[in-house]
Amino acid sequence: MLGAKLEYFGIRHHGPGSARQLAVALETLRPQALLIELPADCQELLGPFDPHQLEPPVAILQYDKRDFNNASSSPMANFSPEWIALVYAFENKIPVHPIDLPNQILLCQENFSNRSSAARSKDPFSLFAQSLGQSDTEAWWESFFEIESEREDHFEVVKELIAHLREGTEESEETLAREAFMRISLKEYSKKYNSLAVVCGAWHLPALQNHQDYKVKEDLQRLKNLKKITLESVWIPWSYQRLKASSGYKAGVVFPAWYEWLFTERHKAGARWLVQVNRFLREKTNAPLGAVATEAFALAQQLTSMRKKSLPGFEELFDAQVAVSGMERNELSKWLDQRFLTGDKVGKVGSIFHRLPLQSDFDARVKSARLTKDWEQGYTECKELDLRKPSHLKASELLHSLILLNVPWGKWLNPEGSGLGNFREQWELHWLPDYYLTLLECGLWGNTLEEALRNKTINALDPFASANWSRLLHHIFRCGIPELSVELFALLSKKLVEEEDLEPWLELFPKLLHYLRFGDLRNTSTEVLEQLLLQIFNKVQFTGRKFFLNKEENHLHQRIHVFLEFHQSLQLWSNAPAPSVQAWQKRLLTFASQPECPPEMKGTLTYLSWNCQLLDPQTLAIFFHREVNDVLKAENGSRWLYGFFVGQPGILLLNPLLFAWVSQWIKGLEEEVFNSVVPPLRKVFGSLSSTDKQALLSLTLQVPAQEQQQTLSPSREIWEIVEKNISQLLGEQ
Amino acid sequence: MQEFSSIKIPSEQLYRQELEILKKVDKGAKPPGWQLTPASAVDYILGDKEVEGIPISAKYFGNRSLVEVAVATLATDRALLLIGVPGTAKTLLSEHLAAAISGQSHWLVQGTAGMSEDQLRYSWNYAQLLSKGPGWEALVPSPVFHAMEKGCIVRVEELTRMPSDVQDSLITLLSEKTLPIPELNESLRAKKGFNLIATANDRDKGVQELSSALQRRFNTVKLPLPASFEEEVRIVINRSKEMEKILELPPTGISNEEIRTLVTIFRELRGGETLDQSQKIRSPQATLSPAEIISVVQNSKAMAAYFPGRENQEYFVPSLIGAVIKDPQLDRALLQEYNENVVRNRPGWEKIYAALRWELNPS
Repeated sequence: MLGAKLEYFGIRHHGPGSARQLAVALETLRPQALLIELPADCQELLGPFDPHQLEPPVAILQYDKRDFNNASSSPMANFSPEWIALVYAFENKIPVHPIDLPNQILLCQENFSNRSSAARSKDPFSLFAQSLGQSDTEAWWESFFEIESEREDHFEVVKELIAHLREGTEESEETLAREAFMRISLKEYSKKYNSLAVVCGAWHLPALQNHQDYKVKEDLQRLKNLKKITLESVWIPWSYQRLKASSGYKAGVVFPAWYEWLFTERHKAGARWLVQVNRFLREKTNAPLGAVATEAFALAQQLTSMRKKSLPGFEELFDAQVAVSGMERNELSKWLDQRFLTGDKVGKVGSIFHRLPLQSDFDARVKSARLTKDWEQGYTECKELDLRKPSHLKASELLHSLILLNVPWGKWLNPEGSGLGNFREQWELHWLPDYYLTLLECGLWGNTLEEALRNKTINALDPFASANWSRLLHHIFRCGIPELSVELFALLSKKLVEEEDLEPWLELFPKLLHYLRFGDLRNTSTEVLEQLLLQIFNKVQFTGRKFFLNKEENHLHQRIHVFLEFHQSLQLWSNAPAPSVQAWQKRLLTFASQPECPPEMKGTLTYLSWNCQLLDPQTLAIFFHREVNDVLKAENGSRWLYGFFVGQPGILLLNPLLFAWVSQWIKGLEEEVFNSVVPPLRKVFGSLSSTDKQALLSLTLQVPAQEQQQTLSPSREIWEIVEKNISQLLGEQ
Repeated sequence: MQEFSSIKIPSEQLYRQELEILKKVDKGAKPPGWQLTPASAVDYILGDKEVEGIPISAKYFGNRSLVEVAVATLATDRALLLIGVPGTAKTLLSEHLAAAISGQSHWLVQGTAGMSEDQLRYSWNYAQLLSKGPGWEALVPSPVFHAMEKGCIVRVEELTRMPSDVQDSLITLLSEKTLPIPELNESLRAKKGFNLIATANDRDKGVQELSSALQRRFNTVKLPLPASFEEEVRIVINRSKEMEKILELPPTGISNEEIRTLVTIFRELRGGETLDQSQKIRSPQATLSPAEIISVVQNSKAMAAYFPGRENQEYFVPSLIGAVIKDPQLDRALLQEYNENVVRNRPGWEKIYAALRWELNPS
């Protein structure tokens, strides 16, 4: 063994006290090089480390290119000892070496079968905390090592404590392998340098410090059969939100924002935190919180001494704030979370660390779309784009593309009522660090956003998987890649053959036609679209029978609605193949005569034929009387009427013939039957405007007025009943 | 011992031995006027430990940090307000706090809708007043007055039942710690050790909310319903044992097993689902607090002791029904529903099912 001087610093991951102590200790020790508990295969990221290019929280992400779910991240905040160590090395220009077992081995599924369960099976710290009468391990560490970390022998105390705690504990295979690897690295690096500082999780201290006691042979043996996979490593931005959730060290941080506060404010943290919190609450809640900070601090101090601590920790401050302000605990933490507990900080990674071409392309697109400022904000922002401006058009195209790539940075607020002719788009922007991972994943599909999008659409996009047709189309038409819509149409026409159900196609038709008619700002090719429309029409023409004769009542009203829209848009189709459209319209009536056809559908089909002037009044009368005056089932009559009028209820007012038939039918009904037929009719005519309803009412009252002269005048009571029934029919109270 | 024949024995007498031993071993600094250090006061209330061979019993079962905040508050110069739904041991906790801190818990003002300011300050003995004119002899001190004079804790029960103007007379008292007596041109300054514990509930109807001026003088500690099943069982068993001792009831067949059953029923009805969370239940309007379970247990024990010879469930089922059913129609229906859907299918609960069924549909 060479005479390298090794100094060990047992830290707590993300412990502000450890970080502070470490900074002081490194300054005193001035080692030649730093060894750090990070996966050895991330060395390539530590070389170019530059704190001016990285704004914490950031993380080292290592992922399997073929399976993005197999990834591991080591996050760091500015209060993490690892970050402090890296910054020290950068400033003093000394080398840093990661010594932990490479993730290439750890992430290989074959190596450690029961990974997650083993890692969490035991927590000796919590046992120790309990023996001291502290129920909460986190709180215990915080009070003993993070807040009161001013003592000089900090690392000595930690060493002793851990040596004691680790006696007789059993470690998982994974931990043993990691420690064996670290010992081997230690030995190797001590040959290279004279003085070394080792920064590692306090738990590993006993296994590393006495590395002479372990045989190299045994360590090598332990690592011998472990397999490796290939990984990519990158620096990525992290967020406090994610730091809270969990971390690569399996040591999450409960309240990152509070830890940062603790790190920067040190022993004054408590008092200043209360002052800030109460100032914030005063602004936000308008609560008359006069001297709360002072009172709460007094109470927190009292609690601190009762709990035998020397400085108030988070628990004391929070308990005191709850008691003094009289707020509910949950309510208070809801108010404070975003700023004072979890925090909304999001880190940044300079472009020199971007590895994938897709990332650089993304950067360039963001820049040319002038969205750099809005990027990586921890909060939501609204933006209005005017597509006539080139930079805004670029921004819109970028945001639409990203949505299709499953990176919903922007939320489009006005998709409805904005045809392609509309040049205003409203967006709500909110960037989440998770999107980086998704972007990296997209690197799989191509080296630029456009390429990735095209490949993904062709290979992975299943338009029928998403029920939300219009959304998908909106984005595809607007993402600035005309070829993409062409490809999509091709894809759709292929689907058309396979897909049996007619309804989605009927629904799609008017939307496609809309794009065709209004053109667009992005020069989509109309030829392919025209072709697709024709295909859909043909499908409807030849396979419509099943759709019309489908007896299922569940979905019937929806189907009728979809079909009416389709039919309406058919008339707007300028390049429609006129003869076949007419032929098809004629066939509608034959469907309406089929006994299997549900009455509503019959009504609709009859109305459409009549509307296309394919029915003369006499034939219509035959149809009407045959269907409506169904003696066996009066309810069928009203269902037929629903179908007939639902597209255009106003025609009842305009066509005296229809009006006469309907009123005659109603008058002929028995009272009981009348009550049972009201609901469907009410559904139709209830949608009339109030003026139309008035008109209908007066029209109804006129008829008997003429008959009145010839017959006996009905009594007052009968009139009231008639009026009541009519208004009931019209859906008025 | 004359006091021990009374129905209710003050905590400081019931637990005299515990308080004495804690006082004896207490080494730390005490706030002025306190009998114990804050840490020992917390120990006295949460108990569950032994001091020099004397076991300290647990008086309040619940979150340690709540008790710590309560004690710490009384050591600062702010008053303490305990709030919670009925039956969350507000009164019990306040009594023990007073006993631990001042060594006595009997200075007590009960808040009512009809009370006047005099009951918080002082009143006059009119015979004296007429014969001798205003003077110290004619003045009748209130419990608050006494506590200020002696430097003790005074308790105010049901603070929110008091009319607002009466509540507000506490403001000067709490911020200045002085009680002016204009009639005598004097004022009473509170001795060190004086403080006030108020209790209030936030569920009842007919409460007067505190003015924010008064609210500011208080630190608020909200007492929760027992968090876990076992905790609640422990509370009920302990409290009913205590009551049993005081009422000198002969032993009965009603055991802890029955208590566990009752706690299960109450918790399920209160929580709106079965304890294993497998089934949803409609909750009745009643609070169904631990206090109500205790009273059901008491009731059935008394019945069993004085009218022996029936099955256990015949004692507790009727009073259980009485506690649950506040709205005769709605609550009866949902208790029937609970009986048919849950109780019926539980092994070992057959007798309870039958008894509930019989009581709920006597015909």
